[in-house]
Formats: sequence, structure tokens, C-alpha cells
Amino acid sequence: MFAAQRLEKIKEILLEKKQIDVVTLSSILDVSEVTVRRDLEKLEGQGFLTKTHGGAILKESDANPPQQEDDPLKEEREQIGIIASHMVDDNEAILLGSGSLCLEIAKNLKDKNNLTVVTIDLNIAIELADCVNINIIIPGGYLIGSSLSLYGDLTEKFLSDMFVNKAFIEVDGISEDRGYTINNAQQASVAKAMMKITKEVIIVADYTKFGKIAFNQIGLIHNAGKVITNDKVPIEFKKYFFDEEIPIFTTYQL
Amino acid sequence: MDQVILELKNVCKQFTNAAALSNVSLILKRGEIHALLGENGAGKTTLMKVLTGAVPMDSGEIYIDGKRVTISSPADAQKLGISMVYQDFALFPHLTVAENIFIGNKPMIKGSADLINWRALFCKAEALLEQLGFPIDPRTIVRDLNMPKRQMVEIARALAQHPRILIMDEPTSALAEQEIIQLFSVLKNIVSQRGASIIYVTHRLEEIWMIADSVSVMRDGTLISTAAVDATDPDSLIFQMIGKDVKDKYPKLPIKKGTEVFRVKDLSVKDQLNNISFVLHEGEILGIAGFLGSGRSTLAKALFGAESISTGEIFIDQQKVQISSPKEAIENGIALLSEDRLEQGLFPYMSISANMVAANLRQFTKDLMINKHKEDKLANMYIKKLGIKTPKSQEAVSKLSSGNQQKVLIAKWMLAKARVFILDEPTRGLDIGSKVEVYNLMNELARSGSGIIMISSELPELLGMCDRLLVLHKGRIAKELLRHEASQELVFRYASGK
Repeated sequence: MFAAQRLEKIKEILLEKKQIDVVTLSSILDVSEVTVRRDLEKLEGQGFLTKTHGGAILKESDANPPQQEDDPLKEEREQIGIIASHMVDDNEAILLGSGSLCLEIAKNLKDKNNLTVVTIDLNIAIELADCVNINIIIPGGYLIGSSLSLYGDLTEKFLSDMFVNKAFIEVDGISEDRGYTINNAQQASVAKAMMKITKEVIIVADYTKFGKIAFNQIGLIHNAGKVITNDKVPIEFKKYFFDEEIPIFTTYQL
Repeated sequence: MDQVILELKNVCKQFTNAAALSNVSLILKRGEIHALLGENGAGKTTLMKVLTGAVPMDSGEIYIDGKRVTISSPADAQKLGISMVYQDFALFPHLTVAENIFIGNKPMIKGSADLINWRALFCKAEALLEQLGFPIDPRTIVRDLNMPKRQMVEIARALAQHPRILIMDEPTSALAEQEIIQLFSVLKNIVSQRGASIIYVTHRLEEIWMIADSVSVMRDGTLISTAAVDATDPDSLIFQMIGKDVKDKYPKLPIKKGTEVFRVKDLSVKDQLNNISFVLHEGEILGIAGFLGSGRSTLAKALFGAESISTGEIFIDQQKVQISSPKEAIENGIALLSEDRLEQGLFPYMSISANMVAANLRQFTKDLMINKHKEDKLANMYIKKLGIKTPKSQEAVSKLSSGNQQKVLIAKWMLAKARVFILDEPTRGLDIGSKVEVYNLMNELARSGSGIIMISSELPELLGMCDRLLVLHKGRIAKELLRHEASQELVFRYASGK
């Protein structure tokens, strides 16, 4: 487990239990007590907790987790990230497109071994930056400032020299007639380039994207090997993809 | 042409859900036993239902003795001399054998419309049973008979109508070997003594050489081929029966196998299962394949304590446990989603919430009263989690779609903290969209650390969803196949004892 993850975990535990001792933490997290103490120090610095003799207690003012941005689909997105991570094996090379769903996937890849991740989304690169077991490759190109993603001839040319096992691509629209579509023309162009250099295309989209058509088409329904979405997707689409022999994965939070 | 008794030409039938028929043409000769072979859902039963008037065809022609006929009701079929012995016996259990045999045409006392001539009834039944060589007293009440004898009554009933064409739908699935041999000699007698023709519907390859003169193969609603039995061989029949392997369309999520959660050692059930041993891990989906009557459903019941076992041991988390009743199974975290949801799994007229807590009442009761508030709260949580489509948790389960009923069952077992899920035909009767939902639910159960035993007669779905397959044949494990090794053809071979 990595430092950032560990800190999150400690926060979680403290939020639930209000107080905890170093010995228990070290056994839960499977790290030495010294490491735990160092982590607690960091969190104390952040004002999250107060260190005590042999443990820590939660600072009650911080008892509520930091307010998330108002994202009604937060849970759905997180689930898609988890499901996608099951499809990635150790020692593979994968491509992650840009967008919040691809970032969710990245968050769940940290335990993989010897993984190569090619990504055009700088947020993803940063997310994975401290994972020594993951090789990150970022192409050159122009930057879309608002989303920190790369596009343009340079990006596409760079990608054309590679080949990966799987490409995860997030789309804005999925429909029977128009296939997979993306709003931004520049991102759509990169997505098409990504689809050419992978053995398997895995489309990710939350359930609200089904039945919608965005401006730029990146591929027909059959250009995807798998689709990952949520259970709330209309049942007609579940049937449609099955009939078209494309596995559709829907998530449940059991 | 007088050799041909029945001819079907270009029979078509469209369904929204069930197996359809497209341009099926079939010729049945006088005095022959014609096997109709095909996998589940190939359209065999639908075709036979067209022939018996139970299902109207959309287009096509039927000829009997060269004359075009219309069969629009079971009565039409009966008049034309077509009778069928159904797969699931359709007898009246509380009536006597004789009444069942002559159910539609009981001999009456002369001059009376509603007084049965019992003496004549028993006499006629006795004569018929004797002629067929069935050792059954016509005065016996049907529910007191065992399976093979009930089937004999079914056959006698079909023959009492003096059919010229007898249809047998998978007649051997409930029978033991000795009884099968007996049945076959009866069928051969019917053909030789009465000059009837028989259409013998089956998916048991080995029986074809024992009983049939010719064989037709159906697949995906079309008739693939017809041949004389002597002119064909098992390999080419298997090849014709199975379609292409389509494992890859199933949403099977790769999940890392955890520790052993369930183990069965040398489990036997008298006359039905023999020395079954296997291991199940957390996150694993283990498939049980086998034909009807191979013991696959008996196994499900035995593991759940609903069938008494003669020998065998069961281990949960490597600890030996005693499971001799469903109660003990539930206490040990074993869940069974039975084949027949409405009859065995759910209380159809009770609410969703009441059904969900049914396996776990203790958690919701205080002083013998059910805590309705707590029940509702949890029910609503699971309705949301599993995406059950219903306006409220108090809705009766019978009002839900089959897919949503299945989800209620899964919620019930999750509430009971089950870790071993035995799913017996989990997608039977579901539309495709709901099937996809069940597959994804299985992924999630596996992901949460449960082990799943999946029993299904739909081979593609087993191949598509399971990490490992056990193929049953006559109550034994004929073969264990890993996901990447398994194919429809291989499973089929082992299931037919090859």
C-alpha cells in the first residue's frame, strides 16, 4: 500500500472509530509502527487528528469528511473504476483515455504489478506517479487546459508507434445508430487514434450516456470489445449488447 | 407416398422470447421411431407443441397421409391421432390410475350423463395396462406411484386414444437405467403391434442407437438434418447440434480466486448421486453441467440439506459441518436459489420486504414480533442496491417481473449473510436483459467474496460465466473442465458418457 492510500485509510478508520492506537493501525495496514507514527504526524499536521500516547484521536471539528464536489454520479463512477480494474492483469500495457471515469480506473490500478499505462490525461499520470510498479508513458502534444488532456497531430503520431492490450475510452454518447460519440472534436480524434493501437477497446460510460448522441463519432457499436456502465442503464441496452455479442458489465454495490 | 404418415412443410413460428421456428420441414414414416435431437432452446418442444395444437404456427403446412390438415387445438390433434407424453407429467395426482387414463372419455352408465361405469372403467384400464405389460393396479391413486410408474400411466393415457403418431418428450430423464430399457421395449411394441409412429424428442445421444430408426437434428429453431440412424455417427450429430461457442458475449468479470470456502467430499444420494467431491473458492463460479436427470438438481438440493444424503461430508472454511436440513444450511451460510422461484423460493403474495427477511427472521424479531420498521429500512436499501424496479417495498412479489423476483431472492440470501450461493437455473424464464442483470449480479457476489455454484441447462451460459465446470453423467462427475478448456462439444461428450 502506498503512502497516499495509507493516509486515506487511516482517515477512514478514524472517522469511523474516532480513536485508534498505533499497534492496531500497524497490523491493519501491515506496515511498521514507525511508519504509522510518521503517517499520524502528517495527519496531525493537516489538523485531522491529535496524537496521543500510543495512538491518535479524531479532531471532532473534522469529523465530517471533506465536502465532495456535488457529483450525483460519484458512486456510479467509482464502481465503474473498480470493475474496470478487474479487467487489467499484471504485466500488461494499457491505454487510459481522458476523463473522470478513466481517472477512477487509474485509482484502482495501484496494486497491479509491472503495469505499463499510456495515458493522454495528465491527472491520471499524476494519480499514478508514485507507484513504482507502474510505468507511465505520456505522449507529447497540445494541452486542453480545462481537462489537462493532450490532443493533436503530435499526440496521435506518438500513439501510432505503440500497441497495447487494452484501451479504456470514456464516451459522452452511446446509441445503436451512431455508436460511440464524444462531444469534443479534438478528443474524439485522439480516441480514434487510440482505438487503432489496441487489441481490445473497452468503452466506459455512466448510465446517463446511453441513448445519447454526442457530436463526434469515434466508432460503431462493434468497435468495442466490452462496455462497462451501471445497473441503471435501460434494460433494452443490456439486451442489445448481449444480442450483438458484446459483454456489457453493470455494477452493483453489494 | 403411402409410407409417409406425417409431413411438415416450412413451419414458422415467431416468439418474442422463447425459441422460434423458421422453415422447419420434417417427414415421419409409418411405423418408425424418429428421434428429434437438439440442445435446450433448439425449438424441439415448440415444434411438438405446434403438432399437438398447443401453439399455433405462423405459417407452414402439415400433411397427414398426404392430406393437408389444420391443427388449431389439442382436440384437432387428438382427432387426427396425435398424442403426446409430456416431459413434466400432467396427471391428476388425487385420481386413480384408471380415471387418469380415460380422463376425457370415461365409460358412463347407460342412459346417464354423469354416472361413471366404474366396473367398465377399471376393466378397460386393466386390459390396456396388461397389454402394455405395465404392472400397475388401475385402482391405485396416482400420487402413491413412483416416477417410472407415473410415466407408464402417462403412456397408457396417450395410447388409450389410439394414436397413430405418439410424441415422447424427453421420457427418460426421470428414469433409472433398468426402467429405460423397459420403456424402450414398450415403445418398440407400440410400433410393431399397433403400427404407430413415434417422434422421440431427446438430447441424449446414446439413446438414439438404442431406440430410433432415423434422427433429425434441430438447432436455433431450424432443422439441420435428417438421416437414418445407421447412416450417421455421434460425432457428426454433436457437430450438427451445437452452434459456435459464444463464451465471449457473457459479461464474465475475472476475479482473483480467494481461499477455500466450501468443500464436498464423497457425497452420495441413493440412486441419484455417486461420490461427488469438489472444492469451491471465494470469488469463484463453479458450473454444474449435465442433462436432465444427471443429478444436477439433486446435487443442489443435497448441498442445501433438502435431500437426504447416504454418505458424504461438507466443509465450510475447511471446518466440517453437519447439514441435514435447509435450516442448518442457512445457518452455515449456504443459499439455494431454486429452479422454481415462485413455487419454492418466494412467498408470492407477501411483500418484497417480507420475502427479503424470510431467511433471516431472527435478526428482525423481538419478542416474537417482526420489527417492521427495520425490515422496511433494509428492504429499501436492497431495492436500491440491486436496482429492483418497484414502486414500494410493500408490493407483493408476484407483481414483479421474473428478473426482479430473482433479485429479491438474492437480497434475501445476502441479508442472511450467505457466502455459498447455489444458483439452480438462475436465468430460466428471464428475458435477455434480465439475464444480463443476473450475470452481473453473479459477478458482484463473487467480487464480494462469495463462492457460487451455478447449475444450468443452457450450456453457453455455463461456459460463459463459470471459472470451472463439473460435468455430471448419471450422478457422477464425468469430467472437470477449466474455463479455457471447456467447449460445448467437450461438455456434451462427457455429459453423454462418452
